[in-house]
Amino acid sequence: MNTLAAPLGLAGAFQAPARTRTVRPMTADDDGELMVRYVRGDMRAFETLYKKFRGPLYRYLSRHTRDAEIANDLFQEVWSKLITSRDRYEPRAKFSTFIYRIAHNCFIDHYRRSSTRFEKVRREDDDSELQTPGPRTDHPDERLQYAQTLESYRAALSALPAEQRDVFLLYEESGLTLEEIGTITGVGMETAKSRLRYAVAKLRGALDDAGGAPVAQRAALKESST
Amino acid sequence: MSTPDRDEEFEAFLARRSLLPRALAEHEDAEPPPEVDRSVLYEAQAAVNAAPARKSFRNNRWPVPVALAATVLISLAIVIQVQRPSSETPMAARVQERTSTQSDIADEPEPDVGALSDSPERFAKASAPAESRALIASANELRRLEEERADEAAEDASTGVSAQSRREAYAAAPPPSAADADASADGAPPAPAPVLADAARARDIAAAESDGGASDSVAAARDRSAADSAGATGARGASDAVAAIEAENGKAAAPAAAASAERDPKAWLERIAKLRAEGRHAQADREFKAFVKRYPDYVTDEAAKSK
Repeated sequence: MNTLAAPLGLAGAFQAPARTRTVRPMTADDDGELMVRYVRGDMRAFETLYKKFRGPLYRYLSRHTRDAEIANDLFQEVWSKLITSRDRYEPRAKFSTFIYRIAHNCFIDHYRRSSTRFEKVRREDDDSELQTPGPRTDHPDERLQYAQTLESYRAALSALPAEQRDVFLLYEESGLTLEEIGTITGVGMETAKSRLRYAVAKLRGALDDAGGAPVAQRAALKESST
Repeated sequence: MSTPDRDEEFEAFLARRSLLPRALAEHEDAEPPPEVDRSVLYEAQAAVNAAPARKSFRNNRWPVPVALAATVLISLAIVIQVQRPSSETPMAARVQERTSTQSDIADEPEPDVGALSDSPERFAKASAPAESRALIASANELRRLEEERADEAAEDASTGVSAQSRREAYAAAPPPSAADADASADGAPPAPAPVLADAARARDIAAAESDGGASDSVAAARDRSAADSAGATGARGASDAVAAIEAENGKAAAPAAAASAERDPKAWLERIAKLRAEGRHAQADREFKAFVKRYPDYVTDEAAKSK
């Protein structure tokens, strides 16, 4: 347009805004746009979304259930529901809120379906998790202490009430704000914050009792030195 | 629990979003197995491939309004259709109306043709549409018979057979039956014998006037015609009336041959020439006036002469 307007002396009158190409990080709006593109049939957009959310979502579920098979099943169920209900997605909603709401509902349904079985499986897993290797270290004593700290942490997490654990995991894994977590769990922001405060206090106490504090201090020192 | 230390820890957690140090938190970084990834991606791909048909169905906003409109239209049609038999049945109503009209016509008294013959307009008004067909048929039959009569007259002139005897033979035919009267009332063409009698009467009137205009004979013929018409059926009365009207208007003055001649201008002119040759100039003039009136664009020798 400018090339046409300049010879006619209209460049000043119809000056188009300069196009600047900026590279910016992917935001929540981009997630929504990717979802919209997937709704229109763009499979690559879905792959991008999946790559971004697969880890946090899987951890949210696996730390909830503490069972790999159940976590896998719930993980597939969440994505299946997302695919099925993609036409109901509105770009106004934040995609992370959308998918974590589905995950939250899936977990609640599963928890209600098999609460007794869930408890039994979780106790069996407690034994197996004791054998999980700790962080990389050359000292066997440290490895054992790390493993004990992690186990205490996991046990404390499992011992949390479901509502507090849900809020804590959502806050740790999803990156959502407290207000969004309150929306997903169906409570107000202050209630969500209160639950989160209780959960953090209990987990911190469990880490201190298991000697996790010195372990954490050593780990922090190691991080700072490297 | 709400000690300042706890608050600091909580604020630190809110900022860092993790209780564990990074070295320990990394161990918590579990990920879904590859087969789960493949399964999810396959399902997403299948949904995209199957999307067009379902999407077109879901996004189509027309079916619901169209279905509602169709339902309303069908309901209205059914309501109208249900209400119609109680208010009117078109075919039955028409049939009933027609039947009543015909019965009214049949119940109407026969018009006094003798009286109506004095005024063609009154006669035309008195003639019902149902009877007009019979009247026209009678008139046509009359014309055809008059043509035949003209031919016979020509033959009689050559063979010497009396026209009066032939008329008497026609008039001797049996009177019309009740069936004939019903048939004529229904619009069917009248029986030939009465029509022949009607034609004979009309010709009597015409002959009486043409043969010198004897008022007695014309009056007698009219009386006879009126008397016969009063006792005849509607169709025969109509034909009588036509003959009487023509006689009254002076058209009956022309003989039967004139009627046939009027259809052919050449024949008509020949007839006029014949009249002049016979010395009947007055009649020839009347005929010529009638000819000019009927064929205004026809160029004749006489017209050329008159011009």
